Amino acid sequence: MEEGTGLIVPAIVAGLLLACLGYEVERRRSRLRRVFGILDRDELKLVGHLDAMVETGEIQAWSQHG
Amino acid sequence: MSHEHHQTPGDGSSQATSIPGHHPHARRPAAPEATRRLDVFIIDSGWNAPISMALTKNLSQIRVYLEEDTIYLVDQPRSIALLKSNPHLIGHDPMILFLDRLRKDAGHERFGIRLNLGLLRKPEQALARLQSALRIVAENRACSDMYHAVEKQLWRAGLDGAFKVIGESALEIV
Repeated sequence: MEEGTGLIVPAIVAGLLLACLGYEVERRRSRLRRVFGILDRDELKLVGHLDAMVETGEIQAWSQHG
Repeated sequence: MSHEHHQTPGDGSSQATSIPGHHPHARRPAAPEATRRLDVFIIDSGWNAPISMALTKNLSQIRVYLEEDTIYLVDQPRSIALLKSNPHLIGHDPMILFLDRLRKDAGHERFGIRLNLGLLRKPEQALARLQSALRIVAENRACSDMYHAVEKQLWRAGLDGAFKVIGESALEIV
């Protein structure tokens, strides 16, 4: 019984550490996911606006060499 | 900057960039179709000044690494107008959109990367992310789905994060 109790505390600590680690990894990953977005169907409106600007000549290609 | 140009009235280039020192020019000669894949849009309403400055300083670098692609600098009023009509993006700018024309025209679900530098606070972080994006584009230009690379990058970043956390925790314990 004592042996069992002796294992519970380290197991709980290890579990907590793993949970913290998982949380931190997920936090960093979701932050990166916000910075690196993927253009998909949700962004069609924005892309449509940009395309319209290019079509009408409102914005033009930039080149440092002219 | 050495590559600074000035727009002359009535020259047909109506765009003024939101990034000081950089002005648009007439469309440059088209690259061969095989390599012309991306249209890159830089949108900046100008309220994250430190990140905007870092981006401005490195525009020529961006140009160098994306010389096969067409870059558009969206000026401040137009950037604001874009964000007004896409309010979920307010605060995300400066943003760089890497629009994959080939995939978009082919009707694929994923057709580009949106790099939201405005979500970062430090210019160094912004430059690191910008470099990552340029690296991904350069390494995966020939891949049909370069967005898989972004997912991989995120996965790796998660692992790196895990190792960092372990390292930091170990240091704290010691």
